[in-house]
Amino acid sequence: MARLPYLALDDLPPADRHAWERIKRGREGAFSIYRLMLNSPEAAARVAEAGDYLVFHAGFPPMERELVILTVARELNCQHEWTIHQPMALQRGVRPQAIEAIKSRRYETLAPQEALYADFTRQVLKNNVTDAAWNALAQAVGQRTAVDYTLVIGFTALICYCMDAFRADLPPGTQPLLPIP
Amino acid sequence: MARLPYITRRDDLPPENRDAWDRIQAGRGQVYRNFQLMLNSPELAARVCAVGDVLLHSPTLDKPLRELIMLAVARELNSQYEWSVHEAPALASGVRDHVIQGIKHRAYKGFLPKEKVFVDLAREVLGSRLSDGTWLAVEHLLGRQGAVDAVLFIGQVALISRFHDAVQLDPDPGMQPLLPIP
Repeated sequence: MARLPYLALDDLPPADRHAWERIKRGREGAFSIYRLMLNSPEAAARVAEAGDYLVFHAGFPPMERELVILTVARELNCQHEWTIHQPMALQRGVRPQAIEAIKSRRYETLAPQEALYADFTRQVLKNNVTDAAWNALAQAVGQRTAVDYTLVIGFTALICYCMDAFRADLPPGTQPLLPIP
Repeated sequence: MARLPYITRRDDLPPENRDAWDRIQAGRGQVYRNFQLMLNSPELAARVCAVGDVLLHSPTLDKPLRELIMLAVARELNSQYEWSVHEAPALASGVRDHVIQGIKHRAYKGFLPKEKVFVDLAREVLGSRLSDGTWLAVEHLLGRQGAVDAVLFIGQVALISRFHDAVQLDPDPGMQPLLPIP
């Protein structure tokens, strides 16, 4: 069970209700993590607004974004993020074999075009990005998008930390999909 | 050397992105070099900066606490820049030298409970294994909003530290590396 109450519009004092609107504006379904984060309303809204940019404005191809998110979820052992994103990744064109490779950390079996993103993600999480990894990504997507990828990795990690720290419950009826040691 | 150009002047940005510069400047008083690099993606830089701004003004995270958390995160992530920039301000803000050295060398003897609990918080959050004991202690000390802010602050410092590494932010002029990295 979550360590905080899930807040919604009516739970907030009138002065903080704008935070709910700002979070809701960007997202349709799964935003239970933001309902926990709303225990600090202004911070929650600003995190959501940074997330909105990464989803709606960054211009990542959806498949590459999902590859990155799955890699972060795997590396940080984040059951919640993985379980939400595995079906989304499939829907957005990540190969089932690639999903299994990331899940079991057999990164060497990824296709080169997939490994580019998974390897960069792992290096960012380890705070150890090599020239080769940076240059490969920057050449493939341009400098600005390389910045965006770097920050989406850090941002996804922040969301994973919150999911663990606040002990966010999986959506009702969802089975956990990530084996965690 | 940094892997990106520094955007050192507002006019270096295309007109439609200059408000990103203004928003960062309004939040921080100036556009620091790390944001000069992040401004290669202007709108995102402004939104990331806005998250940091609200946490820097959190009513529950006072300056010594923020500095302690920053050092704990820098240690866990082996972030030389973050550590070397923050060691002196941490001391000046009232973090005990014993605590700074203890975090640096991962030796926590002689820490007060209210110091150790935030080191534990940073290490456990970054390890994706926050224990009930640490969570309850932090919630008891800071309240619900404060506990949320502390976790977000850890995530934000980690995000910024990882960005610094990925783009190879240059050391500040005269900056000495103060963190032993294995």
